[in-house]
Amino acid sequence: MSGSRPGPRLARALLMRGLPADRRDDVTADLDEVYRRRLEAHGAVRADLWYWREATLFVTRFTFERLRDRRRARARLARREGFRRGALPISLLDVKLGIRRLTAQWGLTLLGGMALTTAMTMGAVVFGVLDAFMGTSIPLDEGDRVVALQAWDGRANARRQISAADYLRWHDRLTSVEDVGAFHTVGRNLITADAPPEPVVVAEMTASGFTLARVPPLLGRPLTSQDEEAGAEPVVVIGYDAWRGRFALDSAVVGRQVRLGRTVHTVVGVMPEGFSFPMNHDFWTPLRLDETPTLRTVDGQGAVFARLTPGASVEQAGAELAALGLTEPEPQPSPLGAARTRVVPYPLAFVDDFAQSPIMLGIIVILASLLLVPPCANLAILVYARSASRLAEFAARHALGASRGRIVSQLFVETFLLAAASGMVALILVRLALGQVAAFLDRQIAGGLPFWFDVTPSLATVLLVTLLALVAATIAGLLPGLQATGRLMKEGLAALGSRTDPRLGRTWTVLVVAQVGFAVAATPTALEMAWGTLRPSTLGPGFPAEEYLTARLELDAEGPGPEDPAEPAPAGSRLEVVLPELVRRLEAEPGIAGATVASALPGTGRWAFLEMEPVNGVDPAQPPSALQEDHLIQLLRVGEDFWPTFELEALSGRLLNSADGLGGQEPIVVNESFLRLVMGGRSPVGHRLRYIRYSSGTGSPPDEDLRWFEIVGVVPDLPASVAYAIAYHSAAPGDLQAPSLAVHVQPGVTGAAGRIREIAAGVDPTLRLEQVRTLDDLYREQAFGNKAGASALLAATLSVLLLSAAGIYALMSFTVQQRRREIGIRAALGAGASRMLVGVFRRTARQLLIGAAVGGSLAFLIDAYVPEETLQTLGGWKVPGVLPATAVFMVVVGLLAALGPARRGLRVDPAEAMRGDG
Amino acid sequence: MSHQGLGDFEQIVLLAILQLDGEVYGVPVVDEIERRTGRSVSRSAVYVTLRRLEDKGLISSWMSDPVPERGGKPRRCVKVEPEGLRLLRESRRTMEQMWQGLDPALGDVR
Repeated sequence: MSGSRPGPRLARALLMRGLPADRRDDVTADLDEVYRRRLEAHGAVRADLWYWREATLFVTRFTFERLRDRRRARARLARREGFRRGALPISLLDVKLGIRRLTAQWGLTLLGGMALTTAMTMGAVVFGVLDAFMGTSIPLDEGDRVVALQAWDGRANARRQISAADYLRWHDRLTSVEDVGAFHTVGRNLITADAPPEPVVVAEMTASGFTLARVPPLLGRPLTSQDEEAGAEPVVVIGYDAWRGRFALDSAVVGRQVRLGRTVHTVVGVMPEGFSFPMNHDFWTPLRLDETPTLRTVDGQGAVFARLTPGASVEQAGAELAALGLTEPEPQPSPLGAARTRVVPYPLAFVDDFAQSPIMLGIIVILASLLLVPPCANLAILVYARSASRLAEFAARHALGASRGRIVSQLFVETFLLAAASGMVALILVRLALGQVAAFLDRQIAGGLPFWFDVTPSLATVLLVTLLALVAATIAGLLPGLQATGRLMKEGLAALGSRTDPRLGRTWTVLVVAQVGFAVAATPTALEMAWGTLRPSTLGPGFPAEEYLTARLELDAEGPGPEDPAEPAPAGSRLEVVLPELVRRLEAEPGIAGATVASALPGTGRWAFLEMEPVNGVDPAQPPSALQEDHLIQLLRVGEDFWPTFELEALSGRLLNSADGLGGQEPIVVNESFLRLVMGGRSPVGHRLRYIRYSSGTGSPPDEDLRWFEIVGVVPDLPASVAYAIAYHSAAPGDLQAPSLAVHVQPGVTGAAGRIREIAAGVDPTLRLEQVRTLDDLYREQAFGNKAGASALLAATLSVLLLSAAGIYALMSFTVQQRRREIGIRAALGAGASRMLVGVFRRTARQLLIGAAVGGSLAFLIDAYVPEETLQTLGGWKVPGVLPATAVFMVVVGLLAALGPARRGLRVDPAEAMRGDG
Repeated sequence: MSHQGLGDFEQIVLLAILQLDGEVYGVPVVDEIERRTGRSVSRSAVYVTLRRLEDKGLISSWMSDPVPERGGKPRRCVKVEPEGLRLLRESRRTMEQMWQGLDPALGDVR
């Protein structure tokens, strides 16, 4: 069913950018309407193509229309004022000349453009993501006046929870804000008669949220303050997507009853498409303050919101809120003078410390500019070499009256054009990359991305790219231009007739050596990181991960519903009952080969640093790498049915069983990578280890965790591509908090996800299955960040490699050009071709070899400093022989690049060379 | 606003608006032109023309109530203004005057 599916997002974004503001919404809605007709009639591919064509035509035609209007307005003005158009501005001539030169030197254009694009994209993507999160306006009427009111812990520099009493004081007394309200997010199972239960994200929100948003419902009514009163009938307002997806756009949905967890709610309204305030919500129930003594406003799951009254500023509201203050005492007193409350633009309510965000963005701008330095330096070398060889041309132009500024500005324009074109490509890539990042985050955040997150590059991102283009043009165009024309200015026309050719100085040679060295040093690590990233998908997980459906299990912590008056036990102890029953029912289901519950899924556990128990005073582990103080290990707590579900058998020793968690002793099983990375290939069975601290800032484990665990068995790596040590502990279902479920579905069985949800809801209606996906998908998503990093690294390395080759080519061309006379004289005196070839090659070969030696030494040092274990922890994988292969490759590429100009040099006609200017 | 005569396509768009009943907006206007002329027409050309006609004061537009089938998005409805009707009549008169007396010579043109 096409439903109200809009056209392709990118094409819609194009329309939004290209159409005049007053026509955007209605033209896009009209096109969407026709698109849906075509979707029904012709299918998705043809409908998408049609949409793209129409979007392009619309944007083009409206742009031409706009330009025509402008031209006419100018013409009218010119007629009125008797203005006569003069000659073309000189800068346009520069642009034309620049385009011509860039086209003529297409190889340089392509290489330089690629390198600049890579650097700009890398900087702008990071900036774009942060910028999207740190915008100060939301897409609502006067969205820039919507703010969040926060209680602030000045000591921890973090948000605090807000008591209902404080919220009510703020609500009643603040005058610089209106429509004060609050929400927090809860997870519930949506249960209707005609579909399997589905976990949904619900906003428990005060009715003022709808008043603040100024968006009327499509059907029925929004929440009202009466709904918030004790004893009111439970009601729910649903969003457009839920109305379409769960109720098939049924216009009689208002008045229907749906169950959210234990409680039956009456649907009282439907909100229009695109409405997701306060964050990413599609279901709204009243926030009952009588049942909520404290608002959960610390973990990004809730906030107190308000709208600034006309004329009030964020600062005024902040001062008023500070004066009103909090009644709740602080857990620990804040430093003297530290704020206890804050008022921030609404989107910043969910960012940890907004005060640092401008600094953060500033740092990114600087880092992005620094990223540009290596490719720009390469480009500058090339531009300088070419500028030096164009000295005669410049001298002639200078003699004809062109100032140094004119000549340099032409060089600057040439490079700026290249940088600007690269910037445009970078913006397209940024848009695509942001789309990927958004899709990734959308899957990671419960309920999806906040509704104000816009992946279209913002004006700030466009400005950043423009700034980067200017920086690039300055480094790569202006500086070499100034240097190359320096001598011209001193000698004037004498430079034209000079017999002494311009020399490429020592700096230039050093730069060539440096770039070859950098390429040789960086390429092995880049390749190893890339292979480490690609390896899991190339090798596969080693078991049919696509047959395993996984989910995170959560139990509602809500009170008893009207249908179940019994007070439910706390979620932790309920899990003890619910989980074994869930596994039992799943395993009895036809088509399911096995089911298990674990603290996390293989490859997704918690990290800790370990210590092995010395045997006779000797540590049995091999020393950890130089970058790490201790060996890193991933912990999983698994049930007895884990092993048969994943078809794992012990390689040595034994597996864990249900008796292992009892009686104080807690044996563990480790994976094959542990044997390799920690034990250096020796068997770990019989040895004991303990965890000395957890990673990711959780500090030392509590004392009872400092006990020793005996290793009783070794199992194969799961997944097979895993490159780190894993320890499996035995766990009873009640020990697990937020456990994960893995279900082995037999091949060919369809609709398993829905059936599993039904079974779970049958065990307990408040048991929610979040993020149901195959293990295969889970591994793919985990690899997303690494893949992006590896791609950027590869692109950067490739750019440097190619630019190095181009640099060597330019050097050789220039050398041959310089030595034409010498070659001619030597040829006339009867020197052999091979001798001259050696002569021509000597300097290049020396630079290549020095570069390769410097780079090789650096790579060797990196290799020694980042051993196998650390590299694998970082996501890489050792590739034997990659360093000598890179060095040889660079030398060969360099020699090949030198070959063409050298051969040209040997073909110089002696008489011609001696007659010419050199 | 002063303006000269109507272009061919502007006439077609104005006539299509007049032919339609109820809420007239871009989508049915395009459909009507295609139905009556038997040719496909560039949708973007129609929308650009609608905007130009509005700038010239020959039609006016307003936003309808939210439409549930369009995800709550309203439509931009249009109607022909008296000035548009006057120009249409003028165009028709001009054309009729030009055709007068040509029927015997171009009898088979129709």
